[in-house]
Amino acid sequence: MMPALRALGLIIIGGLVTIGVIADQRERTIEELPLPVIVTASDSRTGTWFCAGGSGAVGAATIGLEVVNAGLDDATVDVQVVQADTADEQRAEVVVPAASRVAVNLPQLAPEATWLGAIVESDNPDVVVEQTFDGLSGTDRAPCATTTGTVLFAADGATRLLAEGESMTLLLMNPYQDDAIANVRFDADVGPDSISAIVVPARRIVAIDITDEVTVAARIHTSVEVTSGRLVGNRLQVRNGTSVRGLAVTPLLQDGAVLSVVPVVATELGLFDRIHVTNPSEEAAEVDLEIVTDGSVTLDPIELTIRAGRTVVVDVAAESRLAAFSQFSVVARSLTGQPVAVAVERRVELGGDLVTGTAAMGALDAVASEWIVASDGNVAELSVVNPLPDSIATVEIWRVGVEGETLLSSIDLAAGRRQTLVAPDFDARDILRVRATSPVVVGRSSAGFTSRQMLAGVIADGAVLLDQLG
Amino acid sequence: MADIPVSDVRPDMPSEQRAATPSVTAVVVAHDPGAWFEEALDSIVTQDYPRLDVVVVDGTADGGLAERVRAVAPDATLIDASDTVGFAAAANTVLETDVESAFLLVCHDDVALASDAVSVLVTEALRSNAGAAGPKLVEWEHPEVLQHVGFVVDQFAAAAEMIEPAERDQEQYDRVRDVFAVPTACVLVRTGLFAAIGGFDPGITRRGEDVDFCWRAQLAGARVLVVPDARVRHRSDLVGRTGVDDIRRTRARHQLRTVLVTGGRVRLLGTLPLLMLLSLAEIIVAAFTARFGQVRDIVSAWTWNLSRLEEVRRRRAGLRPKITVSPGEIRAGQESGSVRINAFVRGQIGRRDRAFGEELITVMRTGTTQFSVLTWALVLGLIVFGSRSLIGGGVPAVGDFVAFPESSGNLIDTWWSSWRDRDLGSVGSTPTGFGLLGILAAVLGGSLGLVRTLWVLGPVLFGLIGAWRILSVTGSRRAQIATLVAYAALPLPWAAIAGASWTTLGVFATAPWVLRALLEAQACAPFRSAAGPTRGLVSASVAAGVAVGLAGIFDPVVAIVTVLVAAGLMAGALVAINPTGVVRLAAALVGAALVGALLTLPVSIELLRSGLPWHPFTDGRTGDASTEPLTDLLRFAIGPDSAALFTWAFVVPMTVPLLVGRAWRFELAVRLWFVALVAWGIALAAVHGALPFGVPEPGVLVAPAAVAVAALCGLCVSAIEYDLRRDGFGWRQVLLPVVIGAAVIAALPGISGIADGRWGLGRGGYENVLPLADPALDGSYRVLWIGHPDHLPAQGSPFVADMAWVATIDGLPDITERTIPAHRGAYEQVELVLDAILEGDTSRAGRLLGGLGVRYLVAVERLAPAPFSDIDDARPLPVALVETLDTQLDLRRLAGVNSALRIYENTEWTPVRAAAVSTFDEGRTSLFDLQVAPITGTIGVLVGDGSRLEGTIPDGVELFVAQTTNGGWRLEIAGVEAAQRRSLDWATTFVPSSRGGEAVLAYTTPRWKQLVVIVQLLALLGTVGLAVRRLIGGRR
Repeated sequence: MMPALRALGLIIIGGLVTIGVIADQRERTIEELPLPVIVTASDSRTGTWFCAGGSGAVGAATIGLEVVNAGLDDATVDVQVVQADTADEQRAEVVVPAASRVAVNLPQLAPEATWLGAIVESDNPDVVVEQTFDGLSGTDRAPCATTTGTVLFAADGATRLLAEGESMTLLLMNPYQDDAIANVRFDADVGPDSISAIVVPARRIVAIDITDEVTVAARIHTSVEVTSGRLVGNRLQVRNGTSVRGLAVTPLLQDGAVLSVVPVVATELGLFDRIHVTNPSEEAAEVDLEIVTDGSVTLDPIELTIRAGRTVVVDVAAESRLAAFSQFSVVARSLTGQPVAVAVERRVELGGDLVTGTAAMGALDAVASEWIVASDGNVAELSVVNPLPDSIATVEIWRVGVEGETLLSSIDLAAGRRQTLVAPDFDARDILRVRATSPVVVGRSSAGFTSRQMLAGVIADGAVLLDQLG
Repeated sequence: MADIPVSDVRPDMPSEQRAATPSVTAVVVAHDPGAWFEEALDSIVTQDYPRLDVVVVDGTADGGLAERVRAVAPDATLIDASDTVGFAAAANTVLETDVESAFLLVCHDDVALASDAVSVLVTEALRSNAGAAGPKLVEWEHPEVLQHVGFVVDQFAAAAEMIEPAERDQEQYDRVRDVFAVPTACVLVRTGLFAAIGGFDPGITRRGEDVDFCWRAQLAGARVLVVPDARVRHRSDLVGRTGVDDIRRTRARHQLRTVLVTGGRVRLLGTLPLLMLLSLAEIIVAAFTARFGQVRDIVSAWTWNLSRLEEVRRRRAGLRPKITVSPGEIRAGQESGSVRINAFVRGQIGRRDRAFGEELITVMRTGTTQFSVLTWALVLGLIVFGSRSLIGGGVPAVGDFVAFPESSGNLIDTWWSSWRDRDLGSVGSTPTGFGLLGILAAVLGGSLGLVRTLWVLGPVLFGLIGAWRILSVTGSRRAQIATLVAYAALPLPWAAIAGASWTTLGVFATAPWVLRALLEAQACAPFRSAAGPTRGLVSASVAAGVAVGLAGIFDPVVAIVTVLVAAGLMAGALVAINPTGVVRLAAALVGAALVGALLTLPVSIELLRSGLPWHPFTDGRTGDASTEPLTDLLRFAIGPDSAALFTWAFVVPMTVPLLVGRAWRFELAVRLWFVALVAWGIALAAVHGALPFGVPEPGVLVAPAAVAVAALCGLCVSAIEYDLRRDGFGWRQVLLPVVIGAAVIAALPGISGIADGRWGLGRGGYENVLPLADPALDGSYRVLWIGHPDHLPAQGSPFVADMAWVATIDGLPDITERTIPAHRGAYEQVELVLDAILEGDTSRAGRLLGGLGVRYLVAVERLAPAPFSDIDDARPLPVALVETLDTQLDLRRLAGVNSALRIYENTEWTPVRAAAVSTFDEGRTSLFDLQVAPITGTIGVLVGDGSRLEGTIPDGVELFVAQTTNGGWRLEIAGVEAAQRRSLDWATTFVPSSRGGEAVLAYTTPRWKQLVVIVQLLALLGTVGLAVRRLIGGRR
C-alpha cells in the first residue's frame, strides 16, 4: 500500500508543479493603460479651447474670439486671457445664446497686451471657439486648438520683409501651470537655423519674430520641439508685397500623423495652392499624396521621398494632370510609418479677378461623424471628404437656428470621394452641423472682400484617428 | 559618616562601667513561629550583653505568642503588630514605642544567636563606627554550613551571596568587612539611623527589605559591616512557613522598587533602560524555556511598581533630605555588571532559581537541548546582527512601515475615536493593535521608536517561535531545529522587510501557529489531542482564531492565511487518501473565524455591517496580472533585490519525506506539500490575473508555502531519524549528505542578507523630501497619493492595474491610517475624479480635487526616495496618466523634487475646513459642477488633530468641511451648535446660527463602539490569560 500511495503522491505533486510551470509559460495579459488617443483636430467635446493668440489692439493681427453656440441651449463660457507681458490673468464670463455667435474683444480685456491669447472653457459640447485676426494686410480666422503638443510645425513662411513685405511671427502659448521649454528649428531656403531653450512661462505667451531670426527667406519651415511641458502655437504670416497681400494665421500643426487629410485644395485659375509635407523624423519618409476627387476620375498619387527633418513642397499648379480638377482633397499617407506634418497654403496674387489674399490650413488627422462649421465670408465653400476606402457615407448638412435645426442638404459620398457645397446652399454666416453615417472630414474655404480663409471644421462627435484606421 | 554617635565602650569593662555601655533593644519580629521560637528567644535572653532589652513584635497576634514569650522572656515587651503586613512594617512598629536604646538588634523569629553575638556586634559597630552590622549566619540544623556573610549588590538592587551554595564554615570569611547589605534575619542597627531613614520600607512585605534598608543607610552615610565573629543560626524556611513560593516575584518587584526609590535621577536614566533590557532578555530566555511563570513575575514587577509610582515618589522625597553620600559613591560600592547573571551562572539565585539553573544545566547536558539553545542563540544573534541598523537607527517610514504619531497619547486617542481621516473621512475603527502599541509605548515612557521597531521585527520572532512549535509533538528536537532554521533562512521575511510589507510579516508570524492549530484540528497523527476529539477541536479552533486575531488586530488582511492553509490541508488530506479531519477542519475554520472576529472587534462588526466587503483584503490590488514569474514565487523572492538563487536547495529536504517517510511522516509531508502548492497556485493565478477579484501581494499569498517548506525541512529530519535508519544501506542513505549540503546552501541567502544591518530596507523615507506646505499657514489639506500598492504610504483603493490611491490629511499618514476601513465614506468621489482624469474628460482636475480638499497629488514611483531605492525597482505611473495629469490646467508639477516622486500642486484647492461666504456652493449640486464654477474665496480655519478641531470662525461665513458627511460631527461656536447641510452631494457645510467666534468642531464616537472595544480588550486579556494558564498548565 505504501509504495503505491507514495507513487501516487509523488505523481500528483510532480504533476501539479509541472502544470504550474507550464501555466507560467503562458503569456500574461498585463493590463496597461492605453495611451490616450489624441486627435489634434479641434474637438468641441473637450470644452477647453486654447487660442494661441495674436497681437493686441495695435498690431499686425489683432486677435478676437468668436464663440459659436451650435446648440439649442444658452451656454456660458469662461474666457481667460493669456498674455505675453504678464502673468496677470484677466477673466470674462460670456453668455452665448443658443444658435448664435458672440464676438469677444480680447484686447479690450487686456488693453496693454502686445501679444495675447486665451483659454476658453465651457461645459457645453456644442460650443466652438474660433480666433479671428484683423490687420492691415487682411483678416483671417482659425479654430482654437483643443489639444496641446510637444512637437509643433509651421509648414510655410517667408521673411522677405523689404522685398516682398513678408514678415512671420511665431506665437507659443503655454496654458499650464508649469513653465515649458522649447527648441525651434528652421529649415529655410537661406539655410538652417535654430533657437534653443526658449522658456515659455506658465500661463504666458511668447512671440518669436522669425523675420529677425531668419532674414530674407522665401520659404521657411519651422518645427518646435517642446522639451518640457506642452504648447500650442500660431504662425502669423503677413504678406504685404507688390504681388501678394494678405494675412494668414495658422495654428501650428501638432505632432504630425501617418495618415491625414487636406480637405480643400484647388487649382482654379489664379489660385496658387502649395502642399507642404514635413518629415520631422530622423529617417527618410516615403509619402503618397492621394488625390481624392468628386469621383469622376481616379488619379495616381503624388509620390514623395522626404529626407529626415526636411520639408517637400508640392506646387499643385505645377501638376498638369491636376489641372482638370478645380477642387480636390489630398490624403497624405506615410508609407514608411513616420508621422509627417502636412499643410496647404493658398495664395491669390493681386491683379486677377479673384479676391486676393493668402490662406493656409493644416491637414486633419481624424475623421468624425459629426462636425460643426461656423461659416464666414462672402463666398463660402464646404468640402466633405470620405477618406475611408470601404464605406459609403450619407452626409446631412443642418443649419442651426434659434428655432431648431433645419436640414439643408443630404448627399451620399462613396468611399474615397469628396464633395463641395457652395453657398447659397447655405448662408455665409450659418452655423452648420454636418452629420454623416460614416466618419468624414469637413473643411471649408471662403473669400471675403479683402481676404481669404481656409480652415477645418470642428469635430462634434464620433472622432476616429485616421492612423487607427490605417 | 560622622553624624552617627559613637561610644567607646567595651563589653569586658568592669560592672561599674557598664552603665556606660550602650543599650541594645532586641526586636524580634515573630509571625506565627514554630517550635523553634523558644530556642530562638532564649538565645537572645541569655546573651552576655548587660544592657539588652527584648521586644517581641507579634505580626500575627493570634493570642498564643504572649504566653510563649512570657515563658522564656518574662521581661520582654510584646507589641501587637497584627495590623501590619510583612516583616518590614512589623519591625517598624518599634519606632512607635519610646525606644531609647542606642542600638536595635532586629531579628527574625527563627534565629538563634551565639551567646556573645550581641556583644561582638556592638563592639565592632562601635569600633568601626558602623551604622548596621550583621553576624555570620549559618544553617540552623547544620551550623557548620555557611548561610550568609553579607550580600554583594549591583546597581539593579539584585543581591547575591558572597559564598558558594552549601559552603562549609572553615573560618575562611572570619574577617570584618564592609558589605553592601546584610540580611535582616539578624542585624544590629543604630537606633538613630533606623529612625532617621524611617526604618524598613513597609511597602516591601518580604524579601528585599535588607538591600533596600542598607542602601538607604549608606545614602545616609552609614557603614554596613558583616561581623563574622558574631555567629547566628538561621532556619530560613519562609516558603515552608508561608506555603507560598513567591521568591522570584517578590524579589523582582522589590528590587525594582529599591532602584526607583534610591536611584538618583540622572543615574536612573541609565539604570532603568538597562534593567528593562535585562528584564526583556530574561523574559525571552524564560519564554524559550517555557517558564511562563517567570515571564509573568518579571512583567508583574514592572506593573506592580508602575501602579505604585506615587508611593515611590513620596519615599524618594522623604529620603532626599537624608542623603549625605553621592549616588556615585554608592555605585562604587556596588558590583559592576549584573550579579544576577553572575549568580545564575554560579547557581546562586534562590532556591527556585537555583533549581531552574541546575535543571537548565542538566538539560543542557543533553546534546539536542544544547543544540537547540545554540541554534536559537545563533538564529537570534544573526537576526539581531542583521537588524542592527534598524534597531539602532530606527525603521524608516516607507511602505507599510508607516510612521507612528508624535506621541503615544495621539496613538491611543486616534484608536479610541472611530473617525478615520484617511481618504475622504469615514467611520471606521483603527485596528486595536495600534492602540495597544500606544499603551505599550506609554508604559515604556513614550518610547514610540522602540515600539515601532518591535512592531516591525516582532512578527519575525513570533513566526520563528511558531515554527519551532509546529513539530514539537513529534518528539524530535532536531526536527524542530530544522524547521526553525529553514523558516529563518527563507528569504520571505527579509524580503518583506526590504519591501516594507508588514502584511507579509504578519502572515509570516501567523502562518506557523495557524498551521499547527489546523493540524491539531484535523487530529491526524501525530497531532491528536490528548484531551479528546471534541475538546481538541475546540482547542485548535481557539488557537487558530487567537493566532489570526492577534495578527488581525494590526491588519485584517492576515486572516487570509487561515483559508490558504486550510485549503492546502484539505487538498493534502484527500490526496493522501486519508480524508480524516476534513470535516473537522471545516468546523475549525468556522470556530477560528468566530474567535478571530471576537478578537478583532470592532473591525469585524464593521465588516459585517458593510456586507463583508472584499476591499480590505486586497491591499489596493485590482486582480490584474503582474510580472512576477513563478520561479520568484517558488523562491519567495518577492522583494527588491531578492535574487535568492540558493533557495532552490530547499527542494532537497522538501522531497526527502516524500521519498523515505513512512506512516504519519509521509502523510504529513503530503499535506504540507499541498499547503505549499495551494499557496503557490493561488499566487500564480493572481500574478496571471486569473482571479476575478483582487488579492493581497504575492508575499502574503506565498507565506503559507514558506511555513510548509520549513515544516517539510523539519519533517525531513524526522524522516531521516525514524525512517532512514531502519533501511539497509542503499540509495536512501545517500540522501543524508545531500540534505546536509542542501541545507547549508539553502541557508546562504538568509545569512547573506545580514550585511547591511537592515535587510536591504532603505535608510530614509519620504518625510524629508516632500515639499508640502505647512497646514498651519493656509489650512488643512489632503494629499492624494497614487502609485503601486507596495509603494503607497497606506493601504490603497484599487485604481487601475498595479496602481492604487489613498488620500491623507496634511501630508504623510501615520500608522492609524494605514489600514483601509470597511466603510470608506465618500471615497467614490475621488474615483470619479480619477476616472475623469484618466479618460481625458477634464482639464480641470484641480478644481475637482480642490473640492475634495486635495492640495497635492503625489505619484509615488518607488518604495523609498532616491538614493534609498533603486531606480530598477521603480513602478512609474502609466504614461497615459502622466499625459493627462500634465495637461491639467490647474495642476502645477513641482520641480526639483526627488526622482522617486511626481508631485502636482493643485492651484485651485480648497482647505478641508474652509470658511466661505454663504453662497459659495450656490448652483453647485455635485462635485463636477466645480469644473466651470470652482469654489473661490475661502480661507482655512480650525486646527487640531483627529476628531477635535478648534479655532476662530469669522462673522458671516459658513464652514465648508470637505469630508464625508456624518452626523457625529458637531460644530459649536461660543457654545451654540451650528446647523448642517449637505454640500456638493457628499460634504458638509455648517451654518452658524449666530455670529462667528471661538469654535469647536468635534466628532463624538458612539458609546456602543467604545463598549465593543472594551469587550475586545477583555477578550484579548482573557486570551492572554488563557494562553499563559494553558502553557503553564502544560508545563506542569
